[in-house]
Parts: sequence; C-alpha cells; structure tokens
Amino acid sequence: MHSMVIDRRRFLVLAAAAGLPLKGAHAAEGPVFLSARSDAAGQHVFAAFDHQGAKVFEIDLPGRGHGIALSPDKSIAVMMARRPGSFAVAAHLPSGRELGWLTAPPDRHFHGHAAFSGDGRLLFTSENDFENDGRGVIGIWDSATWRRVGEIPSYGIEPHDIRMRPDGRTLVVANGGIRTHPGYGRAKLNIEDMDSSLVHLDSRTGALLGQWRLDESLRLLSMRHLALFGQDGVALACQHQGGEDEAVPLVGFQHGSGALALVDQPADWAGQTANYAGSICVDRSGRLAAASCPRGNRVGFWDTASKRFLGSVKIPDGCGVAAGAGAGEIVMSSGLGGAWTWSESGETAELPGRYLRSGRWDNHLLALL
Amino acid sequence: MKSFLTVLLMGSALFSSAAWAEPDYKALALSVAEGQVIPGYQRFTDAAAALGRQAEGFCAAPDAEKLEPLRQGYHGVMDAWQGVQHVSFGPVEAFSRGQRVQFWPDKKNASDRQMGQLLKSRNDSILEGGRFTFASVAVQGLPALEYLLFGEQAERLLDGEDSAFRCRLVSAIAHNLTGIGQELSEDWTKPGGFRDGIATAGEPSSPYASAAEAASQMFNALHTQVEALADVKLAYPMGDSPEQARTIRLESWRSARSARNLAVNIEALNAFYAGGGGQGFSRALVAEGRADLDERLRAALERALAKTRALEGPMETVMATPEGWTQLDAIRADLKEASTLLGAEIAPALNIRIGFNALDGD
Repeated sequence: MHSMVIDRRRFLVLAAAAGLPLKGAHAAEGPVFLSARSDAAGQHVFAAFDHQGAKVFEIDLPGRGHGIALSPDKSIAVMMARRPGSFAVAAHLPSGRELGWLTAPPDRHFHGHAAFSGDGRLLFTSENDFENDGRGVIGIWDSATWRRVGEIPSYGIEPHDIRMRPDGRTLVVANGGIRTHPGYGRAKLNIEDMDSSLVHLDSRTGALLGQWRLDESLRLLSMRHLALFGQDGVALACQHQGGEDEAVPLVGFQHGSGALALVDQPADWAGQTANYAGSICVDRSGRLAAASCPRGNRVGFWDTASKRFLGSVKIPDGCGVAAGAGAGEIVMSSGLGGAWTWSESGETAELPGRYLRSGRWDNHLLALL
Repeated sequence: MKSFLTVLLMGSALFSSAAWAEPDYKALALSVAEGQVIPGYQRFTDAAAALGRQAEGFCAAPDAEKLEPLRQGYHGVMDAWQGVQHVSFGPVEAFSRGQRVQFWPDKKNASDRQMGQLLKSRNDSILEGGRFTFASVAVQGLPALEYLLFGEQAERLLDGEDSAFRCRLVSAIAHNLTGIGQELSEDWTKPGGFRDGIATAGEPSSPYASAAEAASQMFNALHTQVEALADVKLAYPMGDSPEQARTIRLESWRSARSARNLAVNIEALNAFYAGGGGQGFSRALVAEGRADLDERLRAALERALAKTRALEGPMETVMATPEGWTQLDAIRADLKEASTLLGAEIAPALNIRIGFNALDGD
C-alpha cells in the first residue's frame, strides 16, 4: 500500500516534469471526503477531495466551518459554522452546487454540528439560546427551503455533536455542558457548575428518551463528539476542563439504552494528549473507533467490542478522522496540511496531492462511502 | 541511591536556573495585552470617532477642499486597524466584528458588487437605527469606505444626485467602526473582561485553562500574521512573475496604501512580540537562553520593514515592474524566514503549542 502510493506520486512528478497532461489521473473512484479547510489566502471553505487528494469542489465560507451533516440519500451535505457561528451552507453532492444558506436567529447561535431526519426532510442543528443562560436547543430546519421551522430542547447546556440513529427518529446529542455567550467570545462561563450529558431524544416529539452523566469525579469532563455504529452503538470523545496532569479517560461507548462506559487507555495517554480529544469516528466494519488528540499530535484506536486500546499513530495537529473505504481503514487530516490513511494492518500512508498539503484541515472529516 | 538523589537535586538546581525555568506566561501575556492590544484598539476607536466627526462636517456642506482631509481620516483609521489586524482572538471573534471592520480577502469581489447594488438602490432603510450593524459585512467596514472615498466615482460625494446617500453611508460606516472599536476596547478592559480573563487564567471564569494557553494563542496570532503577510499580502497578488501580478488582489489597491499596511503590520508585530515594558516574547526567549533566536527573528522583521520602506513608490505601481517585483519577493522571503523561525524554533524554545486544531477548543 505504502509503496504503491509512493510509486504513484513518483509517476505524477515524472509526468509533470515530462509535461504530460495529468488530466484523468484523478479519476475519482473511491470515497470522496468532506471537510472545512482554511487556505493560504485566509479563505475558509467547505472542501471536498477524492481519495487521490484531488479537489472535487470548494464553497467559500464567511468564517471557519466545523461539522458536516449528510442526508440519508447522500445527495446533500450541510457544513455548519464553527461555534459560535451563525451560518451554514447546504451543498448538492457530488457537484458542490450551493442549495441554500441557513442563518441562525438573532438570539441563537450554532454549535457546529447537525443531523438529518431519516427521511431527509428535516435538518436538526445544535444551538445555544444564549440570552437564557445558554439553554441548549435543537433547531429544526426544512431541507426544501432551509427555513427554520421549530426547535426542541437538548436537555442540557451546550449541545455540540448531534447524530441521527438508524431508526431515523432518535437523536443522540452530546451536551458539552459549558456555557458560552457571544459577548464573551469562546470564554467558558460556568466551569464551576459544568453539566455535560449524553442524551437520546425523540426528534418528532422532542421527548427525552434517556440521559447519561458521568461520575461526579469526572464532572469536568465535557462529552462533545459522537460517532454511531452498528444498530445501536454510540462512541463518544471528551475534553477535560480540569488540569492537564490529571489522568482521565477520553473515550466512551454506550449501546441501546444501556450504561455509558468510559474505556481504558494507556497510562500516559492523558499526559500525551493534554486530555483533549477533538473528533471520533468508527470504521466501516464498526469494529474500530479512532479518536484524534490534536494537542498530543496523536490519533488513538480502540476496539469497539472489547473496548481495548489498540494503539496510536502520530499525526501533527491531526483532528479530522473518517472511515476509509475498507474495513479497518481510517483516514486522518491535519491542521498543518496533509491527510493519511491508516489500516488495521498497521500501515500509514499519506494521501497524495499538493492540494491536501497546501491547506489547514479543520476539526472534522466525513467520508462519502 | 544517595548519589543518584544528589545528582537529581543538582539537576533540579540546574533546571531552576534561568535557562530551564518555564517562561512566566501570565506576565508575558498581560504585557502583550496591555502593551500592544489594548492601546491598539483604543487608537482604532479614537481614529474612527475622529473620522465620524469629520464625515459629519463634510456632509453638512460637501466641498472639494474637505475631501482630501476626509481621505486622510480614512488613512488614520486604516493605520490603526492594521496595527491590531493580527489580533485574531478574543472579543474580535464575537459578532463577526473582525469581518465587519475589514472584509478581506474578498476573492469574489463581494464588496464591489454589493456596494454597486447598494448605491443603485439607495436603500436608506439599512442605515436606520441599529440596522447597519446587521447589513452585509461587505458594506459596513473599511473596504466599503475606501470604495466611497477612493473609487472611480468618489467625486460624486461632492455633487451628483446620490451625493447625500453616499455621504450618509460614509458617516454610517465611520460610526459603525467607532461602535465596534468601543465594544472591542470595553470587552478587553471591563472588569471580568478579556484582559482579566488572561490575568485569571486557570480559574473557572477564564476562557483560558492556563496562562500558557493564553500565551500560545497570542504566539499563534503572531505566527499566523507573519505567514499571512508573506502569503496573502505578497505572494497572492504577486503571482509567479511580474506579468502575473494582479493589482486588485492587493489589500488596499484603491487607496494605493498596501505597502503602508505592510509596514504598519510589521511595526505592530514587533511591538506585539516585545510586549509592554519589554516583558513579552522577546524577553522570554532571551531568558530561556535563546538570545540567538530572538536576534534572528528581529533581524528578519527589521530587514522586511526596511525593504518595505525603501520601495520606490506604492506597491500598486511597483509590483508589475521586474525590479519592484524582485524587491517585493525579497520582503516575502524575509517574512517567510521569520515565519519558519517562529514555527520551527521559537515555539519549541518557549514550550508553546502551535497548530490549528490543537488550539481550537472544540
């Protein structure tokens, strides 16, 4: 795998040197990846690239983007603004044609993530009702008009990541628990009474179906990012608001209506990662979870069944993680440029192409498989 | 065992000497805030308020003789903004304040397009009450002001059927900038504001988990701006040759002050790096025993500044000449050198975390 990539790159270099046309070299079979990107000119974009590193499309954004929601039929992707943001853009796939822009109401701002309903007709966005003590709400938007049609509570403060379960109706929400107000930028206003929770709610009625909190000893652990797998699995990634030298687990799993359990990690993991996980994904087989820890320049891997820590790779400022095309394959992107594929067999290979190296890849990556 | 302990103790004595002590991040970050950022925002507020008063005087009786002083007023505001443009964190992030002051780079030319539409429609209603704040970022800041004062149709401020509307727009932008400046100053300096957030880093009410995090964010702002000067303000408009140079990609091509922006930026970065009372990054680096790095960085910035000042004419005219292009390329190289030094050598020496996602906090 590794040598093949190098061979291909060498071919491209030789071809370019020989003045050969490269058109067609990037025939995009295989997955396309979506992510927010910032380029050298300071422009923030919603970007798509193929597995050979070629740009598929870009949409200019008025600020940094964050999470991406994919419609069930994979024909629409919505890029949300980074919190506290007020914009989002819906794009047709795979053309990248703009379908519409969402603007947060004046008394709400987006928290960076969204999810579609099972029939694709509604989009749910995590939002902050900042004039009411940061009450978390889930905004509801019509995907035909991109107008806001309602909202339901998130049953916590600071809903961050939000996912739709395979039933098309149950929303899984990570309430980060940290209150912010746009008047104070991204300042955390309530660490002393932080309240993070994982919530399942009925997207049609707004009813609370289940809520999980961590032990009191882990009160300063903020549950922020989610990945769903199998029929009823939830993987979550956390950030610790306490000291960097305290060793706290950063990854957890929860199944159906069962208990939430944080899992093992190496003793020095907390210290290596500054207790901060930025993103999480599960591979195509559902057996493998990857959590990125950009402050430690590492991505760690866990077995979703045994909950065992499998190992890690070093990715400088690596944060975006997504399932690759094959089982046991994970693709990772870096805020300093570049993207890599890791496979269970232990190989890491950089995706080719100048485009990947030339931009800063933001927090999240999503693969269209 | 005993000898091992002795060695350890000796070792720790060594570590606590100047060369190994952690920098005092709190003192460092506060000195940068108080020595460069807060006064910079105050200057911006004052310059914008002065322009607002000038605009009112001008609009009461438009007069060709008053147009040039009005343009000077714009230069004053732009100088002040360029002095804090690198401050990418804190209150400027809220409510799109930074973009509202200066929507740039504007690759798709949204400013020109929207200004054209606005002037055609003469839509007074967006100027009423507090509504201008919510207008498109492309029409409420410095590029829009530059368009009105230096654009092809600037003379229409004096007479022309839409002169009154143009005048009201100039006034509205100046007042808007003043308002944003006041908010920025206040949000930094009020009790419990951003300055206090740095002072109380590590406490629950602070946006920072540690003073090192605050210093890291400042360092990243410095590093990012040096990179942006090289890549966005120079390489992007310059292209690969004088023939490829594109004037309208320059930051302030209408007012022909792009080189002046660059000089102000470098001076501001020097001050930011030095901190108030010389307590900033420069001193911390020397205290870490790396005076060599400090000297190399300051020399690279100094060379870039001297070459910018030595340009024979505005960047807008020299960029397309082979000689001018080569001079700009040399400035770009100096800035690249400074950027590499900051990222690869100075950040590790100060034990500062750099990265896009590492600092994200999401």
